[in-house]
Amino acid sequence: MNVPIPRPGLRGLLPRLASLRISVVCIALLFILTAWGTIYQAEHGLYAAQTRFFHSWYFLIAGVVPFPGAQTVIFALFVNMLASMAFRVKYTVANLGNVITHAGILFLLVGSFITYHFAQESFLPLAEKEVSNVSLDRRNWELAVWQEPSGEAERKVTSMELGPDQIGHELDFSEYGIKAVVSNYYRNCKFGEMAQSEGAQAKAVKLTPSIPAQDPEDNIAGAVLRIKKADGGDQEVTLYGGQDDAARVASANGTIRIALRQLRHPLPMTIRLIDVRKKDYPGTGIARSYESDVEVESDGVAFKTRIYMNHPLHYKGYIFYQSSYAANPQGRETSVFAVVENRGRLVPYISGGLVFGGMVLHFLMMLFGYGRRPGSNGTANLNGNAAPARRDEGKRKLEVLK
Amino acid sequence: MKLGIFVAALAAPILAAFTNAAAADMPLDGFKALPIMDGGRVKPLDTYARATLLQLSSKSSYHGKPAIAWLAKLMFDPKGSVDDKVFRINNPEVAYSLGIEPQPDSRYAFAQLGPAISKLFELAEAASRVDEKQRTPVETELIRVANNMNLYVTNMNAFSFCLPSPEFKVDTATARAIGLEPRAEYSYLDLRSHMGAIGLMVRPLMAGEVGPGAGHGRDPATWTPAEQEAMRLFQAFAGWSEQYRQYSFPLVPPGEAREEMWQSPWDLVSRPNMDSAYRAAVADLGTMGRSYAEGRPDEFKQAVSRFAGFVSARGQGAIKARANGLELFYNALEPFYLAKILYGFAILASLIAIMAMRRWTYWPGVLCLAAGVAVHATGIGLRVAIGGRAPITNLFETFLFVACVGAMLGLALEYYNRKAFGILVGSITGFLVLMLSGRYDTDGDTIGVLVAVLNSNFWLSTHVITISLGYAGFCMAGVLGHLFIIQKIVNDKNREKLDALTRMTYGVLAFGLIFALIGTVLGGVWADQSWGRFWGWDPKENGALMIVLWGVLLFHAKPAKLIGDLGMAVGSVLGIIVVMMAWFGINLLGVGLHSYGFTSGVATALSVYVGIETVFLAGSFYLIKRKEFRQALAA
Repeated sequence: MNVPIPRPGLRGLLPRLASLRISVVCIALLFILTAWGTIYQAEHGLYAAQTRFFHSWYFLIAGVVPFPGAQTVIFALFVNMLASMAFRVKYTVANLGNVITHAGILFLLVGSFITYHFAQESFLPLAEKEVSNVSLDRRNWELAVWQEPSGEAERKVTSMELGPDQIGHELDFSEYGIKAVVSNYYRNCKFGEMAQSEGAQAKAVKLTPSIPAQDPEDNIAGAVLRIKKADGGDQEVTLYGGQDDAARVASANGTIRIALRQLRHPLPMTIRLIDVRKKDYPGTGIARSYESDVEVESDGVAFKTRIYMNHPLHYKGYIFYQSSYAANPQGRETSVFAVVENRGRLVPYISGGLVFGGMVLHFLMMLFGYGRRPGSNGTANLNGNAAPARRDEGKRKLEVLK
Repeated sequence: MKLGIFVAALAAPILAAFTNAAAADMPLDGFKALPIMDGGRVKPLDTYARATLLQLSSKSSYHGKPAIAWLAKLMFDPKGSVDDKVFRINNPEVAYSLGIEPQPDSRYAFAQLGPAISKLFELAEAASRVDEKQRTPVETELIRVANNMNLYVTNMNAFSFCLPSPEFKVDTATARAIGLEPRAEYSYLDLRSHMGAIGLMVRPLMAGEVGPGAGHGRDPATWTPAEQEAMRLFQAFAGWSEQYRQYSFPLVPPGEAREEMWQSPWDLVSRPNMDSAYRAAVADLGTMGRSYAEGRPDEFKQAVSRFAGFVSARGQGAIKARANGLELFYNALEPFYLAKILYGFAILASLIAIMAMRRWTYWPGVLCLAAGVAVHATGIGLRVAIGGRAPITNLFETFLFVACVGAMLGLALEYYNRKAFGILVGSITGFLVLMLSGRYDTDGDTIGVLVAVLNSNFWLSTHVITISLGYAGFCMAGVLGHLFIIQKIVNDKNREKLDALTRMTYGVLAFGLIFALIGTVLGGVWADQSWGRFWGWDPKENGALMIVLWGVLLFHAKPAKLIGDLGMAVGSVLGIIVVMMAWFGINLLGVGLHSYGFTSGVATALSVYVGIETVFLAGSFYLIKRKEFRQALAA
């Protein structure tokens, strides 16, 4: 190992960060976290493992002992690799493959950071002949308000993201002549209708809070709102995320519809599902393929295309994947697309290419003996040291048989 | 499970029904080549028979006879097959719950299970109502055995229409009245062609045209014996038509190219309107059944040949004759069994060459390994040609591939370092990994169809192959690590051998790491193409990452002087465990603690392996340290 002599202060600290031993510790910790997080998934599910081990800076073992999360370890590894590139690596031709490989891994870590913080994943369920220009969030909810009647093909909807931190807050929907105060919000709840009281116009509904699911995708949110009308008078509205029908509130502007629904992400295009097909292997229930024919329209340009397994649609920075399929007892088929907007999408491809190229280069140089030190017969590592030499090179005879 | 209850109701009459003619050795070459649509693909009946027998009994032959002979006997001589012990029941508690004495070899005959069939389906039905993850091992096994019983009975009935049955025993007078040649018993097919005459006899009895029984037919008290017999035959025939038609044995391809559903012989026999080709095919089916049961090989062979002609003409593009022929060749060759034997010889030869320094065993060892690789690779190539897809499409095929690459790497190592270590390591890897593959083919057909997301030859050819090359590299490095440790214990003075082993370990580990890393990145790219995300910390992804991290750890720990050559060897040995966890250990996580059968068998095998390695490493550590201590004392 070739670690420079430490110098005082920051200038002395930086080379120390390049220590190969730090790399080893980081890699070992990452190995432990990966193994532990994988086993943890069996009992607690993927989301819980991701949150505890892989997306965290640290977590507590038995609620007491802190242990670094993957974020910390990967950050430390990133700093260690940067420092190595700056202070330890010998930029020689013999070491070129290694340098490229490590640069590729650094780039991959940067790309992972971008993807983790800036990628947006949602989904788009469409029944045949249905059209939509929004995708749905899997975990977050919104309060949507619109004016009735809305018999037209399009309707104007005002929506606000809703969560438990908004309990007690007043949400302004004055364009509809109402304001909504969030009296209560449940991350996960069950819905039930109470017995109709005498004289009441509608059945009263009740939300029963449930323990939030391991994966928030499985939660169904609920909220109780106090609607303040501009013309005076209050009305309590109970909303349940699993309910298709929106609540009705009479206001000075007419009938207002209010719904708690999965957060919508606007898309810069409309998508119409023309047809979806599930093809099975003959005589089995095993799906051979799922295919969706869609029509995409944006800025007055429309085109038809097909989305199927392993063949997503790339358009305007969004990618649409064939995710799942459903058919109701009446035979109406629905296709579900995963929708991803990821600015760092190309990073894994580029870094993967760099890692691959670097390794191939290194391998070929080793194979042809390029860059070996005179007398060592070894090849250079990232730090410029020699790998074990072949002592009997050229002696390809049957020694064991002597 | 409804079918199961039906099976239970039918089991007893079936046992009583069919003749027990001792079938002579029948020429089954034509029969086993007949194509059948099963599991979503067309395959020869030979493959179907092997897969069925494997599923039932975890073996691909029965008492030394090929599976096709067992299947033919089951279909054409059901009563003669009921004592064949082909039902494997892994859990003795299942046998107890059915009131059967558990067998030492865990295998049972239909005759043993017969009295308990109703109970089996009753218990299996109850078990199937329990959530899959909550099922006990006994419940899981009950469902498996009940499914196997359905499969067995389906096969048993595939040709029941052409076998004489006591239900169709007719007295001579009635036989003459309806135009049948006098015989002791008739088959469903015999009666089918005389149903017009039988119908004429029973119609007045059913229509209620005269007498007090109007609306319900003529008063039975007034029926003549011949009329009574005709009515009994008519009802038996109607019962068979209803019940037996649902047994699926898709041996008849669709006539139209755009259709995909195949029909069973029963569908063919029950077809209302037939042209001459159909009538001939039905007659051939009948001849097949009768000639087998009555021991007339030439007649059987000719009937099979004529029926094969009918299927071929009808199948048009649906049957790829070349693939069918290749599959028969593949089945006959048994390439992986052969490769295992050759690897076994190579292990012996190389061990003698290394330990006893015998010159004469070196080249036989090389030849055995090379021949093993050739046969092994041929087997993989045949599977690619038969399935028309990439070499690895399921877990079983990863074992075949890794074993083959391991053996090839052994040959390559031997080329560079002729100390017989390459032969030993390559043959050990090939042999052990092929042995392991045997645990994964008991589901039946191993050239199964692919689910939609995997149905991509491009990604199967890139990601899956590269990651498997990574597995192979790590496994080889692990075997070399073992050899290094053993050499260190036996004779640590021989630096030449130790250095050679270190260099080989280093090289093979680098090979494994490169391919594991590329495979992992390609897996991410495939995930991005299929699901829209490069990485999701999914267990399988984590498994691949763990292999990469382990390799990277070893390659950084060595230059950091945290480990030496011995540490590298120990790390390589532990690397096998990491690979096993990623390769098939991860699959066990999904099934949790309630699994049983072969999955549990894998879990147990994995635990035993980890235990053995722990003992090996601990014992080696003790021996090496004791040696070093003694050497220090001596110095």
